[in-house]
Amino acid sequence: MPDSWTHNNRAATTTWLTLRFLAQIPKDLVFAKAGTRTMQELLFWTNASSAQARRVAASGLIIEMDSIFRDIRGAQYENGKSLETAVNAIRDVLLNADKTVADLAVVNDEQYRFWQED
Amino acid sequence: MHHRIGLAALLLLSASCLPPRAHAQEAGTTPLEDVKTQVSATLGGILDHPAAGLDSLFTALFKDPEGIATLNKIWQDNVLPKSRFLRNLNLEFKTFKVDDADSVLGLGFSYSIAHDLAMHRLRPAAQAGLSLSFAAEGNVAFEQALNPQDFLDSKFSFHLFKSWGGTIAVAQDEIFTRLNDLETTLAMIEDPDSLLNAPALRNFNALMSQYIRDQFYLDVSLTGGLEANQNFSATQYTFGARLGLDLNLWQHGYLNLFDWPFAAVRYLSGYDGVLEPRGGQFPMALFTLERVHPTEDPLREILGDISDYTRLSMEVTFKTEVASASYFEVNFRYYKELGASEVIRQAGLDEQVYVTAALTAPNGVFVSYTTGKLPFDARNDQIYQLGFRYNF
Repeated sequence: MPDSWTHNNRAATTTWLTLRFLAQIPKDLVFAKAGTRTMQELLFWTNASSAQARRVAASGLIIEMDSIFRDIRGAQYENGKSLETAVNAIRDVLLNADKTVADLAVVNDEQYRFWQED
Repeated sequence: MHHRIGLAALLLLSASCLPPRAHAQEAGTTPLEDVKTQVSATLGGILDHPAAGLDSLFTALFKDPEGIATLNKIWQDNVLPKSRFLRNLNLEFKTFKVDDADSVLGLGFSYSIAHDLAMHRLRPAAQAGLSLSFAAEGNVAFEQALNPQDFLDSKFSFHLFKSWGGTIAVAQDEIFTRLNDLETTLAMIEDPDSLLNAPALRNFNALMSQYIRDQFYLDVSLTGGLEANQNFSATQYTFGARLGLDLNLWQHGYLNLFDWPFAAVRYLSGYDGVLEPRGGQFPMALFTLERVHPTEDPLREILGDISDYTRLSMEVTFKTEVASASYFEVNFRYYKELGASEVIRQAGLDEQVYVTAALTAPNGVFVSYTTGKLPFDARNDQIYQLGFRYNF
């Protein structure tokens, strides 16, 4: 798990709580244990579905995450980043069965400057 | 023998990517390192005595699930990340048993990849855009006759997508700060029950819900590509249009009729304190209308009808939580040839139905059942799987 999965990292905590709010992870999953969860354990991922179906499900989730980050949580894109770069980077993580929630947080940190982030 | 040589080639590639022994010793020997060492030793044996070595390797790797899991781990950690293209590939070695195959285990792997090559947002701030994607997937068995899902699908798609709803307003600075404070409090909680009962969680959800409405995601695409069986003795090109629909009922979860039975299970088991379906787990659906151009198809050639045809297909996927980290999922696919000739209908080639249902427990143990057939299949298969998924 990346070293950045700490409660002092706003990208990590916001990734965890946003996934929880969007019912992608169990509601009793505490932050300390969430970083190791893989993409195939999230609720949008169905092992038996086609790659195209999984892509559509992930795309809807990404749009919602992006809206929450920017509209409700006060995040902005990092310099040189945009919706296009964020969607593509996050989708590459979401569609990789063995990437973890901590990996997703790393990508979110690269794409967004979160509110009051150091 | 050819399938074993193919597998040996994959394993040799895996072994070549294993980290140096010195690194393992520095980090201390782990069970994974032990197995890696065994794999390396076995590969050495294969080079010296190919037949005996391969048998030994099969016994070591495919006899129990841990061997397969180890092989998967080696690929995921050491091979796939090194390739810009392969890093988006989901590849899984597996065994499978078909009910009418005289207890013969099939050995093979499945793969899937979905990657967007380009994306363009239509307007600034718009949740709509265009994109170009490539997706491929399939199931390959080292004994093709034992492949219960002998269908490889590779498609390029040009998408127009739009999302409605979701967040409906932009919060103010004090809300950003308030949510951050609540989040910091919640992230410090280490006990699941304390998290569920935390006043900060109720406040966080209440604040967030003020800005969230139901979300509807639409994806319309032109799609084309190649479908084949695993040795490409049957191939066909397709071109058509696809409609993808994904609905998240964040505000009206009670309308998710599909999740009511599971909501009852969650409520009766005590996992949920209230009887409440999950609005985010509404089934996702794909509808496709395609023109199919068969280029090689032994079954249709025997029947004397290798002509192009129009095919309507749909796929519905549903996954929900049964208890904490326990999931039920189902995938339903339906293919229908429109205006099929009498001979195609009588042979049962005009329609395919394919269903998979699975239940996964918190410890990674899963049981799944698959029935039906995919394009190119002449018969219905029934596949039972019992296994486990875990991370090292």
